[in-house]
Amino acid sequence: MTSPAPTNRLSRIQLSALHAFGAERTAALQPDLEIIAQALTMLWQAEIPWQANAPDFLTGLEAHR
Amino acid sequence: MTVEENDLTGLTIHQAIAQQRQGEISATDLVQASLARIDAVDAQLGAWVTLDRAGALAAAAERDREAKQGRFKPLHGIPIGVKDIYLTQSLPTAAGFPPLADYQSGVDAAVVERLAQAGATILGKTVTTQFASVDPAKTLNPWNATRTPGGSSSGSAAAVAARMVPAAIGSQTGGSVLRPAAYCGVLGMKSTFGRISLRGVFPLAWSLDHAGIMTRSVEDLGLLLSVLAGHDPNDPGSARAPVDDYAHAATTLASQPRLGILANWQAQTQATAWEHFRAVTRQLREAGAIVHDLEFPGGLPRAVAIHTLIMRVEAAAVHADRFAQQRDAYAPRLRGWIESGQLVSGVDYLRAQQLRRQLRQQTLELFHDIDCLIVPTVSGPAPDRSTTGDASFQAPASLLGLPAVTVPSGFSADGLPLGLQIIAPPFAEARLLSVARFAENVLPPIGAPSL
Repeated sequence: MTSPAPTNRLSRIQLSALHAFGAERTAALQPDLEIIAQALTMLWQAEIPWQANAPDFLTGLEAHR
Repeated sequence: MTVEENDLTGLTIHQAIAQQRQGEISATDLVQASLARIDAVDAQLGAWVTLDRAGALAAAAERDREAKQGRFKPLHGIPIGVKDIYLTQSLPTAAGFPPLADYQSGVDAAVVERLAQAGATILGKTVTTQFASVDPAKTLNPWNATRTPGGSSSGSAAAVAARMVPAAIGSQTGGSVLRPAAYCGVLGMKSTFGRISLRGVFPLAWSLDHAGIMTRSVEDLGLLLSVLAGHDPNDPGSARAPVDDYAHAATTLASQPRLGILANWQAQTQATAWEHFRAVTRQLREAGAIVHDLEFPGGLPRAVAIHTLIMRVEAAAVHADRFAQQRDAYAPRLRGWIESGQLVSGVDYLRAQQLRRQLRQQTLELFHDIDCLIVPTVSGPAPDRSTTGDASFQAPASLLGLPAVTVPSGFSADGLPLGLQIIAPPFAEARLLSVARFAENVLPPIGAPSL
């Protein structure tokens, strides 16, 4: 699976924020955007086994109800 | 006012019920003692949003009439505070959101219904951060007014610690029960995802939200859980798993519990807090526990990243309509959560859920050779009031839906409470409470804050 490089990920999120909220709000959101970008980087560095694509894939909590 | 001047406020639930059964005290005595304590200390702590003085005294009078007839309920006459995100028929529910200050839902949350049916006296609503999220509320830490009590169940933790009530209800999406409980030096529990109904509770992130309990003894945790646990057909997330005898389990010391330390959390723990935790584990071992070092699959930062993504996206979805209309009424950090959550793609959210499922399977495998996992409840003592503290150490149990308890474990060098977090497999609350009782028995009581 492909994913943007980490440096590009923050830029892409900043661009999305700019479109959604404008420049002033994007600047205010910078710490949140960095948290999201860092989290996404970690998520896309992890490998996912095929078993993770199960019908109850959403949380894994359903099987224990 | 010290606790010694007003002994009734120092009673646990079990003690208060025993004294009522013996005719030594009444439910009215308990409510009056709680109200007097609140009048004495809450102006400085700010734990309560609303008090129902008349309603509480009327309910207590009814319990006293029942007691004279020899009829007692499981939580007979026990004053309890309820976090202000649980709907209450007789009181407003503001959820820390100014536009909802006078919101009257006209219904009780399932938890409130069960408490009332069990004979508890709902004393009032305790302070929550806005929608149980992240911006600090007005409440102070009873041990040190310059520090946060933690959040989001800030008022519940402070009220139990300051002996205003013997128990309070909270909720946890990241660390909102265990962290404030640890910072304030009380016991806290969140059960398995779906074990306690969330009907009538403002959601924050639906796949992470849990009800929670705060008390001053493990026995009281077990008693409250026995009242609150069970299937609710009107909560789509409610579990159907059988309900065990939690009240009994909480009075039963685990014999030689097998405990696994998540040793790779050390890197995220303040050095002195880790030293404290290691000293606690030595005490547990000397008392008969069998303790092993284990590794949390993928490490703590990855779990926190998964949690962060899911929580922000679900919060953005939960609040989409209200946020579109009342954006400026939102507190700044929650607003940041929602807006950043709006920017995460569907593919990214589902990848987080895939990794969550994988992490849950890997974590459950750790329980093959142990009874419970143990870690510090908090990465360090309560910080200053600019934040509600670090949720990293409580978020994994919320992410994985696992039941967890915090037991006060002593103090930091600067005199602030710390906690031992015990985590069990899904629906193993009975085992969890038995291990918590073992820990409570080993660790010296930390007493009450001076106010």
